[in-house]
Amino acid sequence: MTPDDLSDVIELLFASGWTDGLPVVPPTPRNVERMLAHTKRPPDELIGRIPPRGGRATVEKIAINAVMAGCKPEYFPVVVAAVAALLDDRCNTRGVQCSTHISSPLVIVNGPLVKALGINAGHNVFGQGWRANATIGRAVKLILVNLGGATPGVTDKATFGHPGKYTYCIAENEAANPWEPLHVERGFAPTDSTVTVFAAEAPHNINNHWSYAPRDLLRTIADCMATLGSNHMYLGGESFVVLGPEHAALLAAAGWTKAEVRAFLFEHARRPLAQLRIGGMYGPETRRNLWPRWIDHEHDSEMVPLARRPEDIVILVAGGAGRHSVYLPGWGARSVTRKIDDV
Amino acid sequence: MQEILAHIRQLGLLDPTDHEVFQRRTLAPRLSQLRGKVGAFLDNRKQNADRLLERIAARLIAECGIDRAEHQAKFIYSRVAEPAIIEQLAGRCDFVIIAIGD
Repeated sequence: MTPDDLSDVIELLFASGWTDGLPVVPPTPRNVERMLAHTKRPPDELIGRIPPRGGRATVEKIAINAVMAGCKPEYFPVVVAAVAALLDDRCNTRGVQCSTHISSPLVIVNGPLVKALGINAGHNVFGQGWRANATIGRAVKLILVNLGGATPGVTDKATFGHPGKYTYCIAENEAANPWEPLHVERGFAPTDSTVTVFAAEAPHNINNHWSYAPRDLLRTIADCMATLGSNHMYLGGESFVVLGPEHAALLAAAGWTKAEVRAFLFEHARRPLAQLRIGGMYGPETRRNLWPRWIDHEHDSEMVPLARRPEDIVILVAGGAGRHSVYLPGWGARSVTRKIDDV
Repeated sequence: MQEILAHIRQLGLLDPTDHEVFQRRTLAPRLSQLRGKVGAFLDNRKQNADRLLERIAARLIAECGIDRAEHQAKFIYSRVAEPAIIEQLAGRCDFVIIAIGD
């Protein structure tokens, strides 16, 4: 085969409709066998059916998509664990796949596999440059399209989508995290490797270069969270605050724990009812179904929280040097963390 | 498309999709006419879905002669309807109209 022959195969795969708009690696039996050699699971094991169209995500089908995404075989257990996580009902992947909303599943990796596989947790963590981040995230997205049948405009009604629908995978920067990492917080051992899947919007930057008082920094973060256009103001659900290492270090040096940071954000990421009434998603369902009973709808000055409870604000540390953090709104569903148990 | 897929198979490349399931899940057959039929109107709880469905039902009764309209509402738009609702509507109705996107 010449390079021109390979180009012809890539064009053929474009014509098949199996790609995300970018070239894919041809899924040859040899490549798929190499991928399958990195799991103890049998190829015909069914991990689940991908919504909305219910295509069967067998281990083999996941491997085919992982090859197309450009994954190295050693990434495969991460991809399988991510698929299992997004099929958890708490993620409500069916809703995420079909919604007009912008969110798309983000894969967050914790534990020793981060270093072993070279998954980026530092500078440019949401950007390009690392094969592991790019291809693990892409494999998950190809599965959502090829097995889930999420076709833009047909079943996937996202008004905008975002670039994370090509690939969306990071690692937590555990070395820079002054507190316990996400997976340990969720009951896993530090030596476990895990994936957390969360349907997230694109990252919203939070710029704070000058505050040295923790409350001032956290007020900046809270203000970026509680916006009138946020799904969470009306629907609840989890959202993620990704603290840059410098912001995390400032808070920890002043003696703040992660729980205290979360509590402060829960108290301060709020908007008055009068502002929320102007639109967003405020309506009869907000009173009937979506807001907690303790919110007083009779007073315009009532401060409505972004999160229904502090635990719905999930805190991570990732990224490189620089006084920025990131807010990741979600869709209104929950994140799920699973151990990568096939290594 | 069939030619392209056949060519891909000839090259020995593996299929990342699940055609078998996709082919089985097709649209329900369309009714040839509505007169005398019973319509299900399923409200997904988005804003104004109920009003839209009431107006559609009224017009279908007045202009297309459907026999009657059965209205139901899901608990919330982000989840599929409860199985009991789907079963009830499937057992009593000839077609279903669902609203609303946004």
